Amino acid sequence: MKEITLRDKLADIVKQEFMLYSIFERLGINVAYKELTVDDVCEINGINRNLFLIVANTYINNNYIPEEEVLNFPVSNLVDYLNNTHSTYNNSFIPRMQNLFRKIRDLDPTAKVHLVNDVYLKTQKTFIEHYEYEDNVVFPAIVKSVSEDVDVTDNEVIKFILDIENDEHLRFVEALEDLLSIFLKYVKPNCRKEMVELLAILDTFTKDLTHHMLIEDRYLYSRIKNCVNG
Amino acid sequence: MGRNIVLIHESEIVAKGLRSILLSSFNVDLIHLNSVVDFTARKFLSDCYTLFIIDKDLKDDNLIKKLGCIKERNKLDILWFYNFDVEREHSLNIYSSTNSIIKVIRELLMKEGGYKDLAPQELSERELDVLRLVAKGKSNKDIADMLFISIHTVISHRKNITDKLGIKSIPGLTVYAILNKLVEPSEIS
Repeated sequence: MKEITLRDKLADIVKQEFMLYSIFERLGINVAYKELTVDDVCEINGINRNLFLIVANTYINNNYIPEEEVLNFPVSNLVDYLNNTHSTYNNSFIPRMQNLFRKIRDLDPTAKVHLVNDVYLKTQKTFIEHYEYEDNVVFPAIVKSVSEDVDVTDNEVIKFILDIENDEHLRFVEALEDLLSIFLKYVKPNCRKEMVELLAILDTFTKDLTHHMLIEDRYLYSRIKNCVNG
Repeated sequence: MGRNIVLIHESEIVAKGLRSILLSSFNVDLIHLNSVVDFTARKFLSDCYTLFIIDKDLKDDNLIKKLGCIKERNKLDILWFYNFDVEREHSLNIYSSTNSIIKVIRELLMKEGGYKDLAPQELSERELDVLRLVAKGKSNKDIADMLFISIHTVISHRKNITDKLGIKSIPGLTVYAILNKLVEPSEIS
């Protein structure tokens, strides 16, 4: 898929990569697409154009490198998008996965899906704590730091930001990738429909989370790291 | 228990194909000999089970005698490799499919070599020890102390485990260990 530009029509983009529909919704697009271009919907919904291009293009290409001028966007807008993504995980991906885990466990207890879920739940709990801390403490501290042009001073927040460098984010993505791989290789419950649904959600969630981590690491934490290091 | 496969075939192409299938499907030590002459240069007397895959065209009485001697001391099987299409028990031929090659060899390894469960046995015994402890939530240092090995060795084993299983995360390795009955769920901290 070629790089998305302001002139591209939203409907054409989503037809090529459907998962962007959810990403666009999190960016704040809430209109029928009609024949609107990216430029049009950003204008109508008050979305920063540079942020849109970065978020959309990073999804279709993990190695996307924006032009220098595209890097100019308000951090608060990015934080809003990240908060919305966390909400999507809380309200959609995680409950849907848990629901399917329960269904499969009930339909076929011999498939041992409950054993898998018991282990996964611990990782999920750590993951939720991680992004709740981001939403409630880290992001507000970063927004304040940038808007008031002062360094981040909270030691806990500084430690958290520096820890991101230690592949903290990657661990969550790897745990999901492994879960998908293990289900494919070693679990075969007698409820194919639910299993296919679970695998589809795991696959989508893994891709979404990979994108989310890239956006956070490249465009939020890398931007703020110099301040906390200095 | 270790397992060896000795492949004696003059054709480089056949040997290369078999080698590729064997190494990607079984956790075994593989030795390839181009000819029977090379056979004398090798020492096969050991406690390991050995499966010989031998080109049926290599009609050599000495080879049979030598194998007979080894058989007195070792557990071994011979799988003849025919260079034409033929169906015989314990044989492969140049037209055998990858699946049938794996099936025949797996049956022999399971029968004599203590090869009970393909998935967990893809790892060495030491790697299984490390995996069990990882699943129980032990740190690299804990594992090193418990197995009397260096942390460097633990890291090396963990890398091998990840490479072999394609599983990178601790939750993933833990789930793998549970599903393959390497640990009990109650042992997980």
